[in-house]
Amino acid sequence: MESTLAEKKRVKRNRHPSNKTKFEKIVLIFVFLLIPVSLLILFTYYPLASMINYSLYDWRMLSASAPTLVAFTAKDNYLKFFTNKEYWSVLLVSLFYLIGSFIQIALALFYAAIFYWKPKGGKFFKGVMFLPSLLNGVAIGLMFLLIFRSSDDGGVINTIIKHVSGANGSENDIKFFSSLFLANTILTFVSIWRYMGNNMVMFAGSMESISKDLFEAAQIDGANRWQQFIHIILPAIKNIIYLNLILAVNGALQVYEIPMIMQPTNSYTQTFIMKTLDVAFVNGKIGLGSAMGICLLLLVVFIAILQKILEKKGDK
Amino acid sequence: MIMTSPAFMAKKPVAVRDRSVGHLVWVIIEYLALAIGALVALFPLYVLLVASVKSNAQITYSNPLLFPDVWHWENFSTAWFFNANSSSTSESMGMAFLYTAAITGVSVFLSVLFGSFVAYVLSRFDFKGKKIVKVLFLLASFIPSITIQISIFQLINQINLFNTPWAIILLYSGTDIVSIYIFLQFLDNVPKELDEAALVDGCNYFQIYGRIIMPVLRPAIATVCIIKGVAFYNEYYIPSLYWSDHYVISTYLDKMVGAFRTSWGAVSAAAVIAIVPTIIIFLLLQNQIYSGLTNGAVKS
Repeated sequence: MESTLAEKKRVKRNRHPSNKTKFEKIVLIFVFLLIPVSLLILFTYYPLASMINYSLYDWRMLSASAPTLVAFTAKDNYLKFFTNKEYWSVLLVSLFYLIGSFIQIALALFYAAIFYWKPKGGKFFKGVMFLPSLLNGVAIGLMFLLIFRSSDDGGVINTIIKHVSGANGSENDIKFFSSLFLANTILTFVSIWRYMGNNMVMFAGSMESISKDLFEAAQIDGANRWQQFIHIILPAIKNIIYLNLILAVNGALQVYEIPMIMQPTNSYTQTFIMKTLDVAFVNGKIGLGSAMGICLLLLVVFIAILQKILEKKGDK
Repeated sequence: MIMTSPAFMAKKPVAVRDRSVGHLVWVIIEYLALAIGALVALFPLYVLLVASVKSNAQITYSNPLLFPDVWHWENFSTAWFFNANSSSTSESMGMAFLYTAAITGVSVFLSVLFGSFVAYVLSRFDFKGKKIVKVLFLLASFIPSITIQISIFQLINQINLFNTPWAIILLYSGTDIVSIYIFLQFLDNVPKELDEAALVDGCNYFQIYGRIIMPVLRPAIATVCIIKGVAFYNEYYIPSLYWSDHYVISTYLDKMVGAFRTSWGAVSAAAVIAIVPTIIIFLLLQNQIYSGLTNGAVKS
């Protein structure tokens, strides 16, 4: 079958002597790739290269309103980053989101498994839990501020505490954003709330594509759902789980939007990206900011390589 | 597969539903978990909705979990007509919607077009450097897009696009590996013989793209449009960095949060208005969104 197809192709090609088509082909490849590849190089690889260059010298932006870059003498930005607690301590905040990303994946797997067995109303619940991942980040920040604000502003939780405890003012309030632990726990929760549904839908989709024959056999063997989940579903979607975990971990290292919107000036909740942007755009230290950006990139690449190793080990 | 199907059908009536106590416990746990999940997902939206129809006094003094006795619908007009731009005559929420729609529309169109270009070339032709192109797009997905804004900002500034909507459009319209994979999955299912038959009929490669590839890609295009459209509509940092003189929906909302520190009813109303379009899109295109996400994920 295959050889005859190949033969037909050859015959067709010979029938249409191809100097003209060959030329057309080259033109098309050139025309179709020109803009997309130029955009990719111009807005991804060229900036990356210039960022590496910035990171090696002490570039400064002299004013934010009329940004002009000036290179001072070479300074060791990387050394500065690693030796100055002010700069790397923000990685501690990433730890909260890192733990959060594991919880997020576990929850997503749990709910996807529930949906796999098609409970009544499953579509409704799936939709409701997926919805947050489509919402505007600024609106999400606002919703959670409404919940966690002080009772003076009518924050939901603190107002309830105030009424239950019979306080007059805000003296019994829980100050959610005045402690490093509490503030980052809340922001991590918001992050899980926002992105869990996304993972859940991906897991549910890949579970549906598992061959049903496997389950038929398992049911005859009397395997219950938990056993089916452990022995059939998990191995079958292993790679999707890895992928989502890597994406979630990368996401955890790159959080900025929600804390930037909810707590723009709170030093407890400043994430690595926020610090990097702050150093670069607010302080104008482009060189140091670039060095921090490159460090993050190396971390992300390291995690990607780790994933590949894990995947290979899992395949054995 | 076909072989097992009759056996499967014969088995089905025999497969009795498990009605043991263990099963009942599982069902209870299942619905408890679903109820908790749904409540947690909806609670913040409910709180926002309640606040959006309350006056300042009601927000501070009334029960935060209940809708008020008197609904303050004027919050919505306050939100809509708030002028975000003090240096211009009026930049209301309607204006922000227009800007957002224009930027999102143009960017989604270009991004989908370029994505289909790359997918067509990668799936149908062999040429020198094909592998390099693939790898370039793949590796780009590892680069943290926000941190490289540090140097993209200098570039945008050098080409004089700082503080223009074109900066945003330019950054959005590139294609990415996920879109390319979604397109490639569709194209791999189309036999290449179809292209060759068209060639014999006298079509050139450009016509094949227009007449064969594009129609086949239609469902994939819809999927990518939704994913990209929602992402661009919600994007906050890129517009705030490159177009700070004017306001798209996200930056308009953010500006309101800053300006109305004391009047949260109106801010909440603005947030409600901002999320209504996404909820409508979701209700209409739910299945398309799900399948798009799954297709994008199977890429590895």
